[in-house]
Amino acid sequence: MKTTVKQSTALAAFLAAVFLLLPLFSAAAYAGAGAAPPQRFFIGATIGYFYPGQDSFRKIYAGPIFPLELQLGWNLNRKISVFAASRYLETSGNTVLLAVQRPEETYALRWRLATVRLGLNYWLWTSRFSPFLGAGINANFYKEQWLDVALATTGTATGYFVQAGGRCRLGRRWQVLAQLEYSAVPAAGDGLDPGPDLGGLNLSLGLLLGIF
Amino acid sequence: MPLRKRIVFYLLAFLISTVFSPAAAAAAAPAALLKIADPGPALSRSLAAAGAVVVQELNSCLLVYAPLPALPRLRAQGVTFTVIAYPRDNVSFFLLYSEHDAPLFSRKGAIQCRLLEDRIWLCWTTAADFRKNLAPPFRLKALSLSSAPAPAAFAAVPDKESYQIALQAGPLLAGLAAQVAVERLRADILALQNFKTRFASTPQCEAAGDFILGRFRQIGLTAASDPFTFESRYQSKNILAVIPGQVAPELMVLACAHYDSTGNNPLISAPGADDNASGTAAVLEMARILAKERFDFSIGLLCVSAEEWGLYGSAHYADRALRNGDKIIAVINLDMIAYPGDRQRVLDVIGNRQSEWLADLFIAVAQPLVELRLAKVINSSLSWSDHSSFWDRGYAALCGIENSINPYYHRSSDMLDTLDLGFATEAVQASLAVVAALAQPISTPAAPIGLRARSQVSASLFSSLKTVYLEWQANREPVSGYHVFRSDKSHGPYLRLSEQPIVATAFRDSLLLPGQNYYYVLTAVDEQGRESNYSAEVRDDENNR
Repeated sequence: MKTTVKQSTALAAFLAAVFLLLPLFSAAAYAGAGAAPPQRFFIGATIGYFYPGQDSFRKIYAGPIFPLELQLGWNLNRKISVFAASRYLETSGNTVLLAVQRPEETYALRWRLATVRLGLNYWLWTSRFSPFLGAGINANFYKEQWLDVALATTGTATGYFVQAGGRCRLGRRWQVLAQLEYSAVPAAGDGLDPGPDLGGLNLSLGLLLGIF
Repeated sequence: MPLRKRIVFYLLAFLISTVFSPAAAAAAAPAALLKIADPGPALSRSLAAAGAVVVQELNSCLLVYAPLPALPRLRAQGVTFTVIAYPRDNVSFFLLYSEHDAPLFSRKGAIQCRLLEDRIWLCWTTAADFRKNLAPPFRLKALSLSSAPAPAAFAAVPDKESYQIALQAGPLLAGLAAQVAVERLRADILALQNFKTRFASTPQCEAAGDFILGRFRQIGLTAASDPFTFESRYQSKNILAVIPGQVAPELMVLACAHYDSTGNNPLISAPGADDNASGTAAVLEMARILAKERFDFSIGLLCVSAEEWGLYGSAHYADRALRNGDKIIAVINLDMIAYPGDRQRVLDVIGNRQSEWLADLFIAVAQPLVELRLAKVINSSLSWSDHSSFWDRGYAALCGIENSINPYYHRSSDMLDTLDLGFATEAVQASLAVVAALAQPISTPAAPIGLRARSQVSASLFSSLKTVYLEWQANREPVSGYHVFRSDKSHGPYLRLSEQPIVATAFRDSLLLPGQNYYYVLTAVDEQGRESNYSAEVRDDENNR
């Protein structure tokens, strides 16, 4: 129960931040931006809040997870852009007991995931506030480590994602990005669930810089 | 044909075709007997999910009793089978061994047979006197379709591999074996032979049972007879004597033999000296010697009846043992152990794959004590004696039997003067030593008791590990500690986990494979460094809440 409250509070705080900041950034963009066209290439960074899609994942890694992402994009035209991104997340958790006999038995865990993502965004319209829909594929490199014993599992898994979001221009080069993403990353394991899914919902907020 | 007659004719035709068609047989029967020639690794799970049970394991196939609605599900799970028969309430099923190409004298009478594998037939009948249709010699085993085998009975079979046997024939076992007296064997075989016939259902067979009961009591053992009915109308009885164990009396090693006999004129003359007064005398002689000793575990000495009719006595005993949850460590069945013939003096030790450890142990313990050669035979199709009733219910069992053809088999000439009692004596010595080794002559210090095991699995996203928690009672006498042993197979070989004796009465074994069962035993070590016998074995999840 304690864990759930903690997680919900973090999620609520993050959502509040996104929805409070977004209008502010938008207002600033309207005030300060000219009508200059966006640059064709951009780089950016986001911070997110990740909500695992699978129960077993949430049971084991109950704490809030904040992924960091760097991305590089190319606006092909006014409707379509493509991007490549690298995301990293790390969290800690505890093992879950099956057929519980001694509830005090627990092992500390560390979970690390690096993801390379390739995606495409379709712009519904482009103006100072430009909403988009997107999709793409991802390649994931994970490591799960039991900290109390010499046991670690490393592996790779591929998946896909779909996303929706929007960008607001802050000036000639800067844009603020907010997006909600769902990803599915099926994997295979010998743990709590024979088919763990490393995906889930990711809500992220960040800044993009047009470079040329 | 007038209309009314025509209607009656069509109605009759419809009724006849309905009653006698195979489809009607299937529709009327709630279950089917299946032959499964290719048991895959997941078969036991598929059968359990379908409510099906294995009623007979043979070398080349399994005979499975399955509810009709389960058949499509089994097919969907990739189980390949052939429907052999649709059992009905009033039909009896038998496994038949016959060396004839056609096992039936005539097809008169309601008996049908289908070949399951080389020389082994499944027969079913509604006739009480069906035996007259069978061409002798033959062997029969009645199949019980109602008794489900123990859950582990037909689970994944371990690979055949050589077991390292921890038990060795020590001086104590040799001393016990040396007490086997040929004269006692001779006297008991003669006494049983003198009943003229011990064909189950005859008064002489009942008298032979009373004789055995009296012999057990004369030795000073607590013994009782256990009457049962077979083929719906005949009565007979098993005789059981028990030497109670001192450390864990709930665990039992069983020595058994059938005392009934048969022959070409069984109501008049079936002396059955080799088959099976020899085995019965062996059990009586073991009782005489072992009753003077004290063991960790109980020893059951069981003489069963109606074996020659189809293993009814042992099936009755094993059924009840299974229902009661009796903990039978192993069963040593002796059937025909006194006719080595002209061939080498060989005693076959027959086991199925689940009992291979027992056959290995038998040879490891007994071979140093005897000159006759002990030959391991792993063949689940050799189901023609009472060990098979225990196999069917998931118990480890083997049969000690002479490796020769007795020309007097099932004849009035199967008499004491055709036997080699020297060979029989060695067979009894071997069996007695194994029974004693399994029951464990009490040691100093005493073997620990009260061993309990619980296990749980800790799981992460990608890995899981099992931890086993062991607890036991402290020995009454002072000890310096305990050693803990583990095996991934029941009955070992065990790996010692503790470098030094553990002073506590608890132990935690961690970082184990979650999908594997583990088996544990303990020893106690006293202050002089002497180590006890193993405790009773416990499976890692045996005491899980």
